[in-house]
Amino acid sequence: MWRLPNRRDRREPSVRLVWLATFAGLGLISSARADTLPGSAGTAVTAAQPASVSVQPAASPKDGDTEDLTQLSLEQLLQLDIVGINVLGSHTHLERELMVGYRYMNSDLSGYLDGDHRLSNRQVLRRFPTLHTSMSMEMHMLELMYAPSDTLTVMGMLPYHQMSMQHLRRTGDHFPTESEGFGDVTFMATQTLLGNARKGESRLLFNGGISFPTGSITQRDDTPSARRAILEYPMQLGSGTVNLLPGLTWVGQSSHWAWGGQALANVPLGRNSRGYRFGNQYHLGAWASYKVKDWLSPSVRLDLRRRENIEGRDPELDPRANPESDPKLQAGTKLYLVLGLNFFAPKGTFKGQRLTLEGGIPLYQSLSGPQLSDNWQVSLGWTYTFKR
Amino acid sequence: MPCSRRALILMWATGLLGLLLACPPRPATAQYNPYAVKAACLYNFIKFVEWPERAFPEGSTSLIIGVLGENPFGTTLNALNGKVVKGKSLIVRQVATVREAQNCQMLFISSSERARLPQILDALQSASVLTVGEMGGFTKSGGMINFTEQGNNLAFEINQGAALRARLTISSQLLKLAKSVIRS
Repeated sequence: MWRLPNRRDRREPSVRLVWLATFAGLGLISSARADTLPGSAGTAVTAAQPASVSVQPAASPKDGDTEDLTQLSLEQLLQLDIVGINVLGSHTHLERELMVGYRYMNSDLSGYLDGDHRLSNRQVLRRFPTLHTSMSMEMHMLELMYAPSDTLTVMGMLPYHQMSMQHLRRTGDHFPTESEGFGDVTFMATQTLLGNARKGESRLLFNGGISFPTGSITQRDDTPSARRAILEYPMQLGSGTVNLLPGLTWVGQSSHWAWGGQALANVPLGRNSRGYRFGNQYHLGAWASYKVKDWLSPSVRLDLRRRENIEGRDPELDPRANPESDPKLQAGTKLYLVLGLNFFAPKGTFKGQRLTLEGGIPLYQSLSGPQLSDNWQVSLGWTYTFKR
Repeated sequence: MPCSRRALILMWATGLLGLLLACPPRPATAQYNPYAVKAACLYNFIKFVEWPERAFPEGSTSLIIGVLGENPFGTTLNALNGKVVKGKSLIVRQVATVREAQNCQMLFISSSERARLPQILDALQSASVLTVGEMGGFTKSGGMINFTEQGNNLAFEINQGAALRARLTISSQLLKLAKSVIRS
């Protein structure tokens, strides 16, 4: 019987490759299917529904000279997409565009901070009998986006988490704990408030999202002191609450540049079945990317993230056991610098597919400590956009 | 309240498969700079329009494309400078006044001039200037060719009557490619 890779399996590089290959394969199949459709060949054009074919100039323009399209006939010019996805990306889609995507993210945490001061393990162990020497957070995210109109894009996201923590006790013993499973499913609608995507104008977008508590908040693992002990708050897969995600996004784009900013909040409603509520999260981001080639654009992003402390507490978690079990040691502010490379296939077998590789480091962290601090994060994303 | 893992996988897999099968995918293609496409269209329009001799100063070997108002083309229109169409060398020029615009053979009227469009078109009535715009109501106001959109593609409308009144002949080939034609 088919099953998801278990915790041991997922440590195997071959299994990770199979996961990635599976998603890449899905893209290849989709792309191959699209290439065989008459609508994409540019021959089945009707006045009511013009084909969005990509007509290549008879003589390919040289790099940096792509703005001169005078070698194309008027018929060819009228078949070019003047609005559509490109290597610079977009936060919304045009009417009847569908996007499927997969994203892999990996974050590494180690070392304790109190405010922005680093603490040694010895300092932390004076206050707690156990600390965590490292934490690894992996996430596989499935994304689905659809635009019923030019001004509205709806999306659904389902994360799958794989997390592990290494513990160190005062006695010098080390032991690991792990958790794995689906997180909270999120639905979001993005409505254009100002600007017109088809005219290439800067736009102001409203984000309205809601997440549902599909992720477990009762993840357990064996520890030296207890079998099937409830794991710390950061090791839980979901929030246990319905959360609202309101936000505003501003995006702008020229022929070679894309830029934008976003303010987004995550507000849990009420307390979960374990009697606590994760703190509000706030995110402020700003980014810019530059189209070097039709298929390549590097990007830079600054992310400011703020998280509040947990209200209430899980009755099974002793806040004196380790810092991550204390609901009052969860808040913090982090400023991340994220550099990325975006690859896009404007034509050929992979047409419409985008691959994004990002790596980030924290420039600044101020945490309610002692609290584990971030070291780095990487992500690899794949999306395929097509029209219904 | 966690859902079972299998149920969620099944839900997503079914959803994705259903979408891929039910909605024949048409790949979204590369986006072209709309103004690079419009600039190339202006170049092509010249091939399909006949100007009366009086539209050119005597002995002139050039054809002037003027831009009135804010230039939305950036540098894309400069690509036309020096190109030769129908024996005329193209010159792209930013014009500041309607009087200056009367010396052009083709005039792109920017959306920034929307408020004074009737006055501009009135002033050009006696000149053989092919007027091109990109604003709603342009051809109905007496403009000759107006850029518009159809889906993700560029399209254009033609006011043939306005062109004829300016003694400009638009070829039937161009009329066929237009999204709509005002004949009277």
